[in-house]
Amino acid sequence: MLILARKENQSIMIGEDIEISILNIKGDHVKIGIDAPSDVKVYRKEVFEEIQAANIEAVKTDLNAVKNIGTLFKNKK
Amino acid sequence: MVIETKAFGKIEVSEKQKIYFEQGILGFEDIHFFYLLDFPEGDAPFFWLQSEDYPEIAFILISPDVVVPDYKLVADAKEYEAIDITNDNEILVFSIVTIYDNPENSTVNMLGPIVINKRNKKARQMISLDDKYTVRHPLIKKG
Repeated sequence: MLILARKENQSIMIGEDIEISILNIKGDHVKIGIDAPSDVKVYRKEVFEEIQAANIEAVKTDLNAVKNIGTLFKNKK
Repeated sequence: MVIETKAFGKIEVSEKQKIYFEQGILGFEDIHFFYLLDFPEGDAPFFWLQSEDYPEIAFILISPDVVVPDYKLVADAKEYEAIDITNDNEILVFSIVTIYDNPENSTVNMLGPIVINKRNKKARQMISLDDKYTVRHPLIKKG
């Protein structure tokens, strides 16, 4: 892993079109600005992992469990 | 054409139902083509999102405002650009449902909705910028 020290208002370029800026540092809290093309996905890592895990769980849904969900959901609405 | 599905075995599908995920779905990035299929249980508010090539890869979808009536997706403008949304009328939003053996434990992913452009059938799993939504919102209100 490349490790660079940066101060507030300094930035890092990744390739020619991705810029990571350190906007503000307060205690253990760092505000980071990311400027990247629209085809580059930028997420907080934990959000990305949560959604990925939920998707994988969703695909495992058992067909027997699915069978009555429609009617059950309707009744509960 | 005929595809093999998780829920119905081999069925005839129409090109009109075909949805293209250029970037796949998180965790399934290499799967790009799905079909949006009606759910068989009467007027149940669900749909199947069935992979064209992998029968076992299928998601159950629901309209998020069925679960949270005032649901409003706020996502980065670049996410909409990625599927060429030019007009709000083109936007179709679904949430992925996970159904468990005890249906009352079933959850809905409100944080990472599936957004389809009705005009060109391009779709994308977006990330809600509103943190109040979670990936495991209860499908059924308890109590």
